[in-house]
Amino acid sequence: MNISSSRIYAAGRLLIFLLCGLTVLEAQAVPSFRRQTGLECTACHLSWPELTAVGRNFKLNGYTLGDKQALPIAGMVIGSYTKTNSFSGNSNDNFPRDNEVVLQQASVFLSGKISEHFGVFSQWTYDGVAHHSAIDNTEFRYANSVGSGNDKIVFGATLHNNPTLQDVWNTTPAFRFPFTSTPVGVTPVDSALIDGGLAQQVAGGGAYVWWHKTVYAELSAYRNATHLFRWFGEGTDTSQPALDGVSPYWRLAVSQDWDDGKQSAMIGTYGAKFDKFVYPIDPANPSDRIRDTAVDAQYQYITDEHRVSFQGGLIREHRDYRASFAAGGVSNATQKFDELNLKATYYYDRKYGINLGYFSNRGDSDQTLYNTGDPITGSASGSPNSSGWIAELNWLPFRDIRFGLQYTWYNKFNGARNNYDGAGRNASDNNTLYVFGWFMF
Amino acid sequence: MDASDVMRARRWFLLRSTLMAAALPMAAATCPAHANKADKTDLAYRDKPAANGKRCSSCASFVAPRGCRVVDGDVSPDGWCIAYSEK
Repeated sequence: MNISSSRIYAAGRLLIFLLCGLTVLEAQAVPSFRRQTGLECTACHLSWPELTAVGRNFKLNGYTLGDKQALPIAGMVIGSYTKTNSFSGNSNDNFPRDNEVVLQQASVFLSGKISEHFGVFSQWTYDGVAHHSAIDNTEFRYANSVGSGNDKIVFGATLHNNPTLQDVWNTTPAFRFPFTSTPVGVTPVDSALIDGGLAQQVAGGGAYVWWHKTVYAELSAYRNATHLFRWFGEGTDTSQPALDGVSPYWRLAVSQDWDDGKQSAMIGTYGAKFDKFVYPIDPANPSDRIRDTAVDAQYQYITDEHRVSFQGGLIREHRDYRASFAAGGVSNATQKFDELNLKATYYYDRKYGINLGYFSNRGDSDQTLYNTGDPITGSASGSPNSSGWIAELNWLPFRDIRFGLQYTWYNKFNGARNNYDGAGRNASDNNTLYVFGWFMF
Repeated sequence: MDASDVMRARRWFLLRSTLMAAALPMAAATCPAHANKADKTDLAYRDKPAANGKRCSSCASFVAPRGCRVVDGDVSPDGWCIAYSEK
């Protein structure tokens, strides 16, 4: 298939989805979670997409609060501009749309209550840089409860296509800060598998319980988005399935709200064990064994005028690269990789926000895996260690519109502060200015 | 992949997309429509206004004389909860 026909194909996919939605939109107007509940965005979100206690309650109860809408459709568009600090004499092949205004993405949501105990969050996204459209984060959820008041026990089931998408705290990878980032900058050479490595590649099902508004426990399992679950990866390349068999996921969190609901805090842990295929498949060693274990915590203070939140999470990944090692893809058969993320947010009057995030990836060195010899993206030391800061200013002139100014500073990139790729490039050369407009409708 | 494979993949994609796009509206249309409400404790409801004077009677979710779209049970016009949304 040539490039022009694939673009036509991608545009056709989006068009079909839009037409299917808009056909009914004309007749039924625009429903969404907000229309369903009648609540302002800022009741469920500290500032979207970060959830408040109301938002967490809404999600845990299966997106069913409020009146069912005939067609729960919504839309989203993000336009952005990115300026990378320096190309240092390199070609701009790694920065194809740098210094340009781009339509970053456009999404259509079918998200809302389906029945008394059943709801859906689903998203289809057109990537304006790659000119490709595909399914995005999608979850079906069933929820019910027994008891009432503080003794209530909410229980439910989830079916989704991205590990941690189902979580209700903004400390886990799927809905963690930064909530949007440049689509054209370079990123560190490695990350934990649970951090987006399986998004829209898998189907996950599980059950959860929310006990006395205090303890959250969940057990889920993931398998490839193939056969019956092929549509969970619709539009993505699933020709080489990621997982070998079924992978378990667990989550335990303790949360408390106080001060008439103004303040809340959570401390938790989660993890997963993934057997990941390595291609071409060797029958003797078909897959690597990846085990993620994480701890996380969150605090929020929320009033109409002042909103403050802190989030932190540490993922430790144990990698048994038995298949990759046998195939010569890594130098070391076992490795460790740690991913730390911290974030603080303050919003005034729900319109003006400032966010500061810190990130650190630290892992064992591996010459085969990381020292690829590539300028810009490689690591001369064979180390994946990267760290830095992200500062973001936000302005919401209306509740559904956000403008943002984000800057990313790298203290270290792929193992070093200076000359990390062996071709003279410094970590600070990858510092990125990112300006965006984010529109929900 | 030859031309016939591409055409077959496109036809299969169109069928899947149509089914996906039609499934949710059909499910939404065929399931009964109950209004779900939260317990008062879920939304920290109380029978007195917030410190800044905001109260249920000025909330978009309030249903006169003593009801609410999202909070279950008897709701005072002078009450308040954390889901308060300006009318």
